[in-house]
Amino acid sequence: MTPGPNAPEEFDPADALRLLADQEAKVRAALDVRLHEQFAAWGLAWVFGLGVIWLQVRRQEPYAGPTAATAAFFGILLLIAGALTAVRTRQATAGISGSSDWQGSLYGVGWGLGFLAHFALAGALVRAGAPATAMGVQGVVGSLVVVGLMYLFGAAVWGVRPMAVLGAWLLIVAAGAGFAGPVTAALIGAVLGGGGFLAAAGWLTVSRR
Amino acid sequence: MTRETTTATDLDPVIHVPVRLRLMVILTELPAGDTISFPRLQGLLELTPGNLITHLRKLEEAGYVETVKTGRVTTAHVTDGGRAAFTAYRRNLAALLGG
Repeated sequence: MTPGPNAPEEFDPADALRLLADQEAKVRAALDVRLHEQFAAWGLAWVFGLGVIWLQVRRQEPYAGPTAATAAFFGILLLIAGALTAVRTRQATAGISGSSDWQGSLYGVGWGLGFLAHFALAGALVRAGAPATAMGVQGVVGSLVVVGLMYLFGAAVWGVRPMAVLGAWLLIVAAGAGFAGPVTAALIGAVLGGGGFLAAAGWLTVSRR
Repeated sequence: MTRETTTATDLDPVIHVPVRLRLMVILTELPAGDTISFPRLQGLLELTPGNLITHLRKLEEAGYVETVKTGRVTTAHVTDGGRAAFTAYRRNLAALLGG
């Protein structure tokens, strides 16, 4: 009887080691959510979105807040970053379920509920008669708090150090930004918030090499 | 006293087959408690359904893998025994090649 094509004696151990390393690299790439790209997209959205808002409100006297157009521009940039995040996550996790499926779903729900609470608070503040200046502060600081806590939560689940540092950084920025008033808070959100995302994206990119 | 050396025969014949080696790499890269669907596995390995089933069955017979059919979806995951066998396979392969 002749050995079949998959008989062990025909598979050279050195080839096996090469195949193992090659397959390991392939599967890691396939299961990678490409967090560095996600952070870069969010960072650019914050830098340009809040940057444009700051350019628009910085000469307002008295402060009236961003126009619908600049707010919509920021919203569109956030939607683009959100879409990229959803696509990358879906590509990496398609067909995989179990413990990480539950963790990922809970993380996704956390983002939704976090921002629902953020926008509900904004609505409640308007209803309670909060002035535009207070709303401007809440808009920036509230977002930083939700995002910062979510990244700390994500880092606790997946053990990604740059995500933990980014989460902590955004919370520190949030703690101080509001005291600068609504105009400077927008600038701080763009530079230190968006810049924090870009720095984390750079850190992840370098650590992949 | 004789010194123990690793030989090619120490490589688990169930795993030491190209397709099954690749399958075990994928399954052990998943976090413990996770399963992978049949279509995703097929896509990652670029295998025909028949070929994938044949090799999964071999691993399942050895107790390294479990497949579960829920409705129309079949998923696979590595067992604790499968993880241990793959760890031993890697160790023996490294020892055999002087790594």
